[in-house]
Amino acid sequence: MTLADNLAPQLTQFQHKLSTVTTNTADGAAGKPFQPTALEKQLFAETAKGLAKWKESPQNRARLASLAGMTSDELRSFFHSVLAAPELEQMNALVEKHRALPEAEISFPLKAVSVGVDGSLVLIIGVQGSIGVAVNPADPTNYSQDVLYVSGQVEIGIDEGGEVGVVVGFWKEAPVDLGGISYGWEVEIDDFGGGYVEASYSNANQTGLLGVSVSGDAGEEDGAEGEASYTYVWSTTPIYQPPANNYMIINSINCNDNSESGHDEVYFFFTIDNGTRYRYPSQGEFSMEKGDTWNAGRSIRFNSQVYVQLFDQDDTSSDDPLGSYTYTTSNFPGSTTVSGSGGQYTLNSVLNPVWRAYS
Amino acid sequence: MGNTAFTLTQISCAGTSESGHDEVMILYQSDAGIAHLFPAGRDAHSMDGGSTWSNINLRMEFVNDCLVSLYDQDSSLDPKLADYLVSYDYTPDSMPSSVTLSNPNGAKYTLTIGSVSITK
Repeated sequence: MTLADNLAPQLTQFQHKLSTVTTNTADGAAGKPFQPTALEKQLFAETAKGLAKWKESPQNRARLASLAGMTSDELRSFFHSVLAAPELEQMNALVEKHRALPEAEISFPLKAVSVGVDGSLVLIIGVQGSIGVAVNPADPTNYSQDVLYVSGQVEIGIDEGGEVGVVVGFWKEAPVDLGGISYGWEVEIDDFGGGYVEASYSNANQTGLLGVSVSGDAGEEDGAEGEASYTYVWSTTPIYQPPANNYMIINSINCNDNSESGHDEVYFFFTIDNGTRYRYPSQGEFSMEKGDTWNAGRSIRFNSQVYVQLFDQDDTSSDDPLGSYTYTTSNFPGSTTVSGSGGQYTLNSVLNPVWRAYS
Repeated sequence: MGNTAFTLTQISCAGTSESGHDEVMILYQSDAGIAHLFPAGRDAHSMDGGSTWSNINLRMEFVNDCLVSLYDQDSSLDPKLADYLVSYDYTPDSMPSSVTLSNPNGAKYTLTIGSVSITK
């Protein structure tokens, strides 16, 4: 299975979104002058230098050449390894220095760092653009906070050409907030050397400067000034479920007894066929106390079994388990009661529902 | 198996999850497949008690269900910062034109749909 197969749902969605974007160039609101501080100039220069050095390694070039055969998890690991590469040690030190400075001494706060590849990606993922991962610089190795992204220029027919190159971005928005339309301008920096620096702007909610991307090789980014790009991001917290033979819905959850005084902050994991573990809600929780019902309505595709684990989210310690149950096609109660940590909950579910409206 | 389509037209807020506003994002997922976030990017819709988000005109199609969840974006959709507000699971047998949903955290929202089409 190729990377394009692995990412088919996201790439389809990206291409659909890209096709609906009608703006090709900035309307003048973007493209504001960007004046990096001395430290930021140094950060961009060290990044370009580090990327060029990274690419000198035949081993690293071989890894770049093997992208097309990776799974999405391998792709994430690859990008994380690039960020942690010794060639980018100086860059990472400057990122830390930048994060420690007060707002008055920086031109933008650093909320995400991205690393990706761009260039001739048509042969790799079937789209013209860039693909990569964005992480929280405060916790760069925490995979639960990163996102994968794919980005492409809006104007059809742009041929970026050239071999695949690595690009690093520094963003003032969190990883999950990098999606949408942006416009790129080259940033001229005196005595910069051989790399390429581009500032991106967004008109969404008066974002203005969105961030800065740096390539190791001059000319890797050859889009026109002010040209629109569309970026699609998806959380690595899984949401999409692949097709399967069976379908169930956890219609509702009743709280028979909460585990602690006040409310339980309830969420649940469901693990499909001993494989991928999903969370619902994907973010946040539902507050419950004795007598409450949460009409969760969580649908699940599975082949043989679904393992459901209920939790009470806890800010000060690890989350408290509230019970679990494994559904199979041969053991599927409409209602089942689970308990844990002093709490007791009833799950109400349906297997392969038949709808009256269709009969 | 049939097919159901509908349009989410409006969301009204009768209570927020926190003091001030909720920055509302819609996450919808048909048949547990690809999830869509609306609006894309950083354009969450700011809502407080009494406000209405109209002309949403979001068309959705499904076979078994379409789970529509509202999240409060806060400063971002970062999992540690976003808040789950409410959700409704539309099924072929449950397509209310208007449904009011609440979360004990204070969030209270009414979802209004139209142009329901069920193909057997």
